[in-house]
Amino acid sequence: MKKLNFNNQCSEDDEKLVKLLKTSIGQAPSEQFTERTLEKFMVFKTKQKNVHKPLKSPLYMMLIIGLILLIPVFLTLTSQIPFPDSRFRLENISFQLDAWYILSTILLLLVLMGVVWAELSVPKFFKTQ
Amino acid sequence: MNNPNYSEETAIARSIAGHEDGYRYLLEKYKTYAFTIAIGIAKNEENAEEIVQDAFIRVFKNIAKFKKGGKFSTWLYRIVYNTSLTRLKGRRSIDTRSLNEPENYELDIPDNYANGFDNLVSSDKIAFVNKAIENLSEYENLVVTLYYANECSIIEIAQITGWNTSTIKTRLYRARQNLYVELSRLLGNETKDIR
Repeated sequence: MKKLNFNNQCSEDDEKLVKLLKTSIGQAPSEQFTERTLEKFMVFKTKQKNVHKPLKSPLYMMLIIGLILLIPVFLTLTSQIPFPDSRFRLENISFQLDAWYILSTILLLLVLMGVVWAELSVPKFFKTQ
Repeated sequence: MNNPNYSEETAIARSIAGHEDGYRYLLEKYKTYAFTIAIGIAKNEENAEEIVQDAFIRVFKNIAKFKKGGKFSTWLYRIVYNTSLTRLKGRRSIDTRSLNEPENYELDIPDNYANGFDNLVSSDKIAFVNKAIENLSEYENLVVTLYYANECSIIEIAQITGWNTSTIKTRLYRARQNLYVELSRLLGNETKDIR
């Protein structure tokens, strides 16, 4: 009978087998293993670099523009308030709304162009050329 | 890599920075240990190589998350072990038998082992030990590999496998006992062949 010790050392009575276990266990993978693993990982890294990450800032800008677009609607609802300035009289309100929407459309177009610019990675494209 | 100042810490730091030499150092240092763990569970060289490759790629992907105070080998072996189990789940059931802890960890050594093994030449001893280890169950094989070949402590094996320390001690005890039985059986067959 031999008592098993758990301090991972060669005890005197069990020394030979423990020494053998420490030295004989161990199987190596194929010779190309290191190169194949490195190659696979480098391919993954390159792919990851080119992964498209959508930007959040254009979304916030779109929300702000959307809110700006809604302002005239609120203005129309509150148009019964007498404005001291003649420009804000009821007969001028449709003109003001038209002007507002033209301005908003231009703003919206500018933001959309910004989104296209950022999302299509146009600066990156020029960098790699 | 031949630079004596190039330590494991340097390799980890270089890997975090994305340098290939860091990855290469870690691969070269640990591939054999990792492969030995995987083949003990997968019992197939091709599958074991795929498991180790997947495990290393997972490690490299997450190397920035590696905690500086921890032991890299323990972290890697845990990933190798988990990857092996994930692969194994699809094909075989996992041994979840409850284990009765032995009262004393005394190994019963068969007579023909005691008389025969020491008389073998060194290369035969190694061949016999490897054959006997192959015939152990996945968990016995794993615990022997981690404990003796990879020189992990009981605590480290607990961190790698998630088993409690008494389970590890019991599995290690059973593995050693079965190893003696297996070696004895192999020695018996050898003697029969000679006759």
